Amino acid sequence: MSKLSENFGKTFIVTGEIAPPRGPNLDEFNHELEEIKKLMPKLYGVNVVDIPGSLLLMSSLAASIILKQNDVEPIYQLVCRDRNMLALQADLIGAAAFGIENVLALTGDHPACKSSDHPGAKPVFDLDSTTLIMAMKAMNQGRDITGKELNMSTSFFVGAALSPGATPSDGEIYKAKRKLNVGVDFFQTQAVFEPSLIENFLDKYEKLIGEDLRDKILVGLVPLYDYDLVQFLRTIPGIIISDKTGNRIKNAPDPVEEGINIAAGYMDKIKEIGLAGVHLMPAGRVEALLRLIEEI
Amino acid sequence: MITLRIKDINELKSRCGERNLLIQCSLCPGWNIKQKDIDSLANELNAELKKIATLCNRPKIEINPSDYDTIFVLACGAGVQIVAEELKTLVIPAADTTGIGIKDGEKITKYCKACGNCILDRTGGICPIARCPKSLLNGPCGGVHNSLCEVDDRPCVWNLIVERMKELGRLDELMQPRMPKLKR
Ligand code: SF4
Ligand code: SF4
Repeated sequence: MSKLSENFGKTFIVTGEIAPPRGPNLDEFNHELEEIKKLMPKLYGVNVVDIPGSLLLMSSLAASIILKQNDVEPIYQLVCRDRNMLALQADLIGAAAFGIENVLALTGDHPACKSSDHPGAKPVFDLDSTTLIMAMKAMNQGRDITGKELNMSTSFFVGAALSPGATPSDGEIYKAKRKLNVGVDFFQTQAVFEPSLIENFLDKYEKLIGEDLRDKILVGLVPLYDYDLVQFLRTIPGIIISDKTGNRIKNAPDPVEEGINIAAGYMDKIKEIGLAGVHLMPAGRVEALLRLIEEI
Repeated sequence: MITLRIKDINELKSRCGERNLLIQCSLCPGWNIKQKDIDSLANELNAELKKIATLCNRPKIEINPSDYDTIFVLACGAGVQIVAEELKTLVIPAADTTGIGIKDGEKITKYCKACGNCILDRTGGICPIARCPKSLLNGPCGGVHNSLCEVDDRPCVWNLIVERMKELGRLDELMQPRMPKLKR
């Protein structure tokens, strides 16, 4: 059983995130890993991103194995963009053999999305986030997606993404319910900068589906470390940062400190609302993330 | 009908010889592109234009390939292959075949890509295979914003499916997962 699955729902969960290196040199990655390792008592898992935004990086499976070998519990992110159903399951068997249990199932950005550095890459999307969850749930029963037996069952603890800022949110809500129907264990949200966004989403979910989702959700938080980051994030669909929050960063004598205060304030609010925990993301500056974790 | 997009003109021009021919299938090209634009394409390629009735019926093609340095074919991929097969010569496709489409006023929108496993009965009669850039069976993805797609800023087709399923009173079905075909 992973530390994440063992503690989920029993205590307020905090997860972090790391990006694999863009090349085979591991110096910087190992350095970040050392820093994260010191904070591990406070974390229940560290997401390892899988070619986010279609920007080439080392494979998330390789990097997750490195984490595992360094006693840092990985949450292995797996996207459906680059691998067909055979390759996805083959990598999952590999992950299981290395003792990786937490997996975040993602559809993935299109290779032709705006940030991509390989816009001509062939998109696969043989499976999507929902059917990838189903594949893992089948593997947990000792079978592949077609029902054929594996030589041992896996123990995946399966997460999915949630986009509370999607507009309209109806499609996102029905999809979240569909993922629950196929047995997803937890959700991690995109970065949220206004707690009201998540509250409104939860209310609407309850209204449309008639269920409460809060005990499944880790809310994504990013410490805002300068005003450039605020302006950059505002250009990303689904991300809302109010003028009040933006101005706090703009006018702060120490914006890093202020960003950490804001995120720590949100964290309290998130606890108060009764959500399962938070997922802390670095947005390009690991030091700010590390300082935020130290604050917890 | 079949939707076509004329290839980059400079790319086509680079293939021209002294004596050029542009074969036009009489069916889909004229539906996609105004005849005057096809005429000016022939002009730009310095090519004689020859219309042949519905290439997919495999008509007899009475052309002597040795009369030309370059033979362009403006037709779907199937039409181009028929000409190549009949004339036993190298032919150059003048357009890319992008799918099966419908007309929205002047605009043509791809509605089907002949995937061989039609699921329209389960998606409110709207095709996500041809109309979602990720061909998702269980959308929408997290990229939909202001009802637009993250990839091409067109209306997110999964958003349309959700709305249609609501109208049809089939939300329960919408929340059921759809698996891709696992067997042939
Ligand atoms: S599912 Fe879509 S692409 Fe496939 S046959 Fe039906 S309309 Fe065409
Ligand atoms: S935004 Fe909608 S149409 Fe675009 S890829 Fe995602 S689900 Fe498909």
